[in-house]
Order: sequence, then C-alpha cells, then structure tokens
Amino acid sequence: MTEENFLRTTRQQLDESAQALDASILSKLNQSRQNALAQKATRPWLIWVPVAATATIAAAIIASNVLLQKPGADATPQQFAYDDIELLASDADIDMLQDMDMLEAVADDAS
Amino acid sequence: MMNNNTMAPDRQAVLNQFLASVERRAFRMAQIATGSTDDALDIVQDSMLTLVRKYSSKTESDWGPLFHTILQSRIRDWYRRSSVRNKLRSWLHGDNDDESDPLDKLPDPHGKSPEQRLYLDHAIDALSAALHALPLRQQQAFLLRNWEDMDVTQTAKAMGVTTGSVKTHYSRAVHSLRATLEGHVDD
Repeated sequence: MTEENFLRTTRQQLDESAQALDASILSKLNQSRQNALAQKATRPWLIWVPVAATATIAAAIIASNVLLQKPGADATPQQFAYDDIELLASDADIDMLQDMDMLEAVADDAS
Repeated sequence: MMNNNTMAPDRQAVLNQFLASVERRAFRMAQIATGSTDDALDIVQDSMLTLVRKYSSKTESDWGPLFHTILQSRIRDWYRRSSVRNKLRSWLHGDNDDESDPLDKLPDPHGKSPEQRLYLDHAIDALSAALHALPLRQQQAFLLRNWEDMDVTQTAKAMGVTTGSVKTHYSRAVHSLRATLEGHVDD
C-alpha cells in the first residue's frame, strides 16, 4: 500500500469511528455544547477547589503558629513567620517584599 | 469578553453549529489521547467552554484553529497531570461502564453487515491502539495534519511547536503507524 492510500484509509477509519459514536456519548457531547453556550459547567464545584485548597493551607499555617506560640513569650521565630504571612497577604509591592533587607527592617520595626 | 447574555441569538446559533460540527472528532482525538471516555468528554467540554467564553466574538474562520489550539492544550495538560494509574489503563479493554449499554446492541445505522462491521471495528480498534501508543506529539501531528487536514503552520500553532518539529513528528508518526498497522489497514 502506498503512503497516500494508507493515509486515506486511516482518515476513512477515523471518520467512521467518529460517525459510529454511540447515543450516550452523543447525548453527553450535546449537553456539553449546550452548557458551553449557556456558560454553565456541569461541575461548577471545580472552580472552588483551588480556593478551598489555598484557604485550608493558610488556615493550617495560621493555626499552627497560634498553637505553637507560648503566652507572654517574646517574639519567636514562629511569630516572625506569622508576621511574614501577614506581609505577604497585604497589598504591598511584591518587588519590595523580594528585598530581604527591607523585609528584615520591617520585621525589626514591628518588634 | 462576550458572554451568553450579550451574544445575539443568530450568533449563538452559528456557534452552536460550529461546535456540533467539531465535537465528534474532538472527542475521538481526546479519547485516543487519554484512553478514557470520561476524560475525553471533560476535555471536550472544557475546550468548548473556553472557546465560547473567550473567543465567541472572533470571526467564524478563526474558531477552527482556536478550538484545536485549546483542545490540544487541554490534552497536553491531561498528559502532565496523568498519573501512573492512568498510564497503565488498558486502551484495548476500554471502559467497563459501556459494556452493558443496551444501545450497543442496536443494528448498525450505516448499513454494514455484521461481518463488515466486525472487520471495520477491528481495524478501527487497531488504529486507535496504534495512535494511542504513539508519543503525544506524534499523535497530535498525525491527527491534525492527516485527519483535520491542517497545514504545517496551523498544526504548529495548535501544538505550540515549530513547523520543523511538526514535520519531524508527523514523519515519524506515519512511519511508526505503517509499521504497526501493516495487515490491519487495507483498502
């Protein structure tokens, strides 16, 4: 078989496989198309997965810092970590935050 | 960005027609790439959602290349995320949830005899398995160039690679498929 014939035959077989999709798949494709046109995802909860994951991680970090801090103690490394999180969560310029000297100066002022 | 609320009804009808014209092939491409019916349906739906959300205001002639760029990107994303579990899933065994589907027992609507249908099914299974076994880039290059009839430049854009890379992947894919399918693909 020549390459041209081979390519034509594979095209025909792929066309045939697309035409022979069963009714349940065609129904799901139709539903997907209608959802897209209506801008409704069938799994809208997926949108919240990254948000929930981020919130969970942030809550775990904050909780661990609060629990590890001894009452009345001076600022500990954990306290500095907590301050860092507060800084990172603020609207401060990220370039400034990347400057470690500046970050240390802010931490010193805070203490 | 234009959403459903601002899209004119005739525009929505044209977009609906476009998506209906590409959805079967898109599903088969994703199914061949992933080996999973459910994952393929998710990929196609995500591609449709992205096209409608971001590019519904583009001209109709832009939709085809844009849709395939999105689709191939989603397939590559699936590859990056796929675990060893997915890689070990057997393509030839297919999805078990389709086995008891009564719709499978309906007569062939395309008028083929059971023997012809069996032969064709076997050939299609062999082709699908051979395509699935190709490296993703070769698979994409072959399907876009040979099945979607895209030129090298369009294929390169959809795949996110250079035209030279497309030529290399396509050539290797054709060579590999011919070697694998000799005896399965007949006129």
